[in-house]
Amino acid sequence: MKKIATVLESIEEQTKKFLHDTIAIKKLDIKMSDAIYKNTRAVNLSDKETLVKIVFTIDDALLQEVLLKLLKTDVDDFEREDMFKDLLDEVINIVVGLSIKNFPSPYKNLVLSTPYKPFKVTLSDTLQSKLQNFEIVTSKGKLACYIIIEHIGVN
Amino acid sequence: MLNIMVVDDSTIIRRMLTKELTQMGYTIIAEAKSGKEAIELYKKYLPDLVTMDITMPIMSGIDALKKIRKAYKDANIIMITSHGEEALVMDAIVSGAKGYVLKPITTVALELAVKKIFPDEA
Repeated sequence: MKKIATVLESIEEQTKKFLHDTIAIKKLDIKMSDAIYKNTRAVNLSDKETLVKIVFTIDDALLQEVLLKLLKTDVDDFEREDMFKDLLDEVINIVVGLSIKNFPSPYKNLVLSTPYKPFKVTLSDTLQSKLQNFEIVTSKGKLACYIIIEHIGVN
Repeated sequence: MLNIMVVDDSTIIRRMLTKELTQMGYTIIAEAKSGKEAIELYKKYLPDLVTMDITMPIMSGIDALKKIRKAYKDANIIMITSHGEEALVMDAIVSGAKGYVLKPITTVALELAVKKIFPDEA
C-alpha cells in the first residue's frame, strides 16, 4: 500500500507541476475526493502480474483553461467535446509519462496503455477500497485522480 | 520555405503543431492521423520535414518512420513523444529519426528540433 501511495504522490507532483508551470495556474489546493467530473479518462499500467488503473476526471472550466493555454486560442462549440477528450488524453500521457520514472518497483517497469473511457460502474464499485486519490482545486476549476488496483498477482 | 507534414492521431496536437510551425514561418503541406496515412501522404507531397507522433492507432509512428525511411533514405522526421517512451525514442533514432520533441511541446523545443536539421530556414 505504501508503494501505491508513492505512485500517487508522484502523479500528484507532476499534475501540480503541469498545472503550475505549463498552464500557469499558481494557486493549487490539494484534498481527498470522491468527485467524478464530466470529463473522465483512464490509463492502465500493467504487466503479467499487475494491473493498475489511473483515472483522471476534470471539470469543463479547468479543461477549457488548459485548452486556451496549450492551443493559445479557443475552438468552435461543435468541436469542443472531441477536443476535450483529446486534451485530457494528452494531459494524462504527459503527467503519467513524467511520473513513471519516480515510481517505485514494480510499478516503474509497467507498460502504459493508451487512454480510454472508464465505465462508471467500475469506478463506483472500486471507490470504497483498494484506491488512492487526490483532488486539485484551483481558481480555474477542479481535477481529481484515482488509482485503482484492479488485479495483482495472477498465478 | 520548409514544407512540413504533421502526423498525430490527436486533433489538438495536430492543431498545436500546425499553429506553432506556421507562426515560425513554415508551411504545413499535409496532416495525417495515423502512420498508414502518413506514408500515403508522404508519397503524395514529399515534405521537407515530418513531425511524427510515436503512439498512434492503425500504424505506429515508429513503423511509419521505418517504412518512409526505407523508401526515402533522406526523409527528415522528428518524433513527438511523451516521457516514459524513451525506449521507443531510441528505436526511432536508430531507425533514422533526426530528432525528437517531448510533450508538453514548447515553442523553443520545437524550433530547436527544426533548426537542428535546417539551420538556415525561416
